[in-house]
Amino acid sequence: MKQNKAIFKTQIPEVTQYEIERRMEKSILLAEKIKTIMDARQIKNVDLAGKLGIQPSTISKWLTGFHNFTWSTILRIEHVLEEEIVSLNNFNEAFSIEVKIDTTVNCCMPVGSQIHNKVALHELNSKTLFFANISLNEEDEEMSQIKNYG
Amino acid sequence: MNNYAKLEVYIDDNVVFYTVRRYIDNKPDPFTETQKFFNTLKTLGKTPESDIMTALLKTLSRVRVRKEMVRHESRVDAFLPYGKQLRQIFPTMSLDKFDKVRLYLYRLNDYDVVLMNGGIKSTDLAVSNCKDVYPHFLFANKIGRLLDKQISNGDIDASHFYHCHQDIELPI
Repeated sequence: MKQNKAIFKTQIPEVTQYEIERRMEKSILLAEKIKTIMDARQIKNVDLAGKLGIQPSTISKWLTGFHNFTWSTILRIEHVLEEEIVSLNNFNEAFSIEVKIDTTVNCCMPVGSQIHNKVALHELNSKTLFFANISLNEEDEEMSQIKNYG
Repeated sequence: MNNYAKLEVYIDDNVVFYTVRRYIDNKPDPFTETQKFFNTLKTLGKTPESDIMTALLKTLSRVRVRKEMVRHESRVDAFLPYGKQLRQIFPTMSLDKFDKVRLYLYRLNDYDVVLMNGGIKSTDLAVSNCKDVYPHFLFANKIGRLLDKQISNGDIDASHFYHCHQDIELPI
């Protein structure tokens, strides 16, 4: 068993500098956000600890910026502070990038019902992936029927 | 012999990290104290520690350095506060000795921090038992005492530290 553990350890890939930076950044910024909300609402460590039913020293450890929060803890804190700490509200925006469609090259357009508010993967012959932000209205109907445009 | 230390900006962002350069007989040391710290880590081949310290400074420079984020070391403070907690955010990394890394600093406030030298403590005992790190601990505390004195005398305006740091000359 010990041997298996040793093998497992050797197979863990090295953490890259990029990963170190991202983990450090997320961890510290999350703590900083909690602290900023607490400061703005004049909530002390003791108050937050009382509401969460934990020791104030735990809050101090969280706020060092070196704590690996679980989702469960984040949700409890959000509930007590009545504010979203980690937001996914801009989820759609993160996946749509406004782009100029180059009509001089061939591109594939999704048709009819495939086109909604946020469309569409246009793989051009340059092999570049484009995302377009297209709204369907009556004028667009004609365009939506074009399969191979260009 | 005219020996003194002067302050320089190390990272200039939302937080300004300063560092200290020694002048021995008016001749500047080629490296600042913080450069020497990173050089030491490189010499020891301590890549994860060096990467983590670099990432830490980079991230903190964007926000602020609260007192919870540092370890109290007599007159001065040090990074990191809880080396063992790094296990939580880097569970797969070998951080056995990371809680022994010390980078001494003097925190004027959340946004002005003077970084100094440090190293990796080679003992579980107090820092005074470590010949590698103890001299840096003493030097950092000396700088800390001198800055405390000049601030309390009114020679240094701590609220405008960015504009006056270049004029500060600390006898060492």
